[in-house]
Amino acid sequence: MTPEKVQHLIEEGLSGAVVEVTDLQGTGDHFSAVVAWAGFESMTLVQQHQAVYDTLGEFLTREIHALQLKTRTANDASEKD
Amino acid sequence: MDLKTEIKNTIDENMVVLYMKGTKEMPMCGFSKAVVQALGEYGIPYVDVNVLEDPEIRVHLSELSNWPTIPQLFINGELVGGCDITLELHQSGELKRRLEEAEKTVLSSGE
Repeated sequence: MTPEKVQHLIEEGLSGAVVEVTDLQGTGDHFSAVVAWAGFESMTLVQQHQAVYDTLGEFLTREIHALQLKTRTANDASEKD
Repeated sequence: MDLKTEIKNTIDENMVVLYMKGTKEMPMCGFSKAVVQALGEYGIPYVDVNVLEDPEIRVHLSELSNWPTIPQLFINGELVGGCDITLELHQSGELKRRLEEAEKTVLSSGE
């Protein structure tokens, strides 16, 4: 799987989200993603991650074996750490 | 007792439960190991369940928790999260607070 595809899936599932995905090992199944989305504001950390996981559906665990995730609400999306 | 009920009971009846790959003495995956190391710094007792022993555990667990990956950490029956969230809470000091709070509720309920 490509980082672009992962990014596309998340963006499609969370409309308006700003998503950055990198392939951690070049093997197409371990990714890290930073997702900034206004909808996260009303969610707990667990719910934010679940919302991202839900956009990936069956791909997660089948093709995506690991996804390191950093979520941000939209306004601190500019913050780079 | 079916497996799903057994998982539910394990989560509800123990203050801290970690579903992981391997055991706390011998973690079999980097993410599980990272959570074991973080928990190790608090010196609190917790139940570790090795999902590799029975692939069915993972299926039922994910249905219960709506969380697709392993490890999964539970405090007082509530999903804290996977490796990312647990480490984020560990670094921010929130994990310490939640563990201390959990210990208080356990002590006050006279268990």
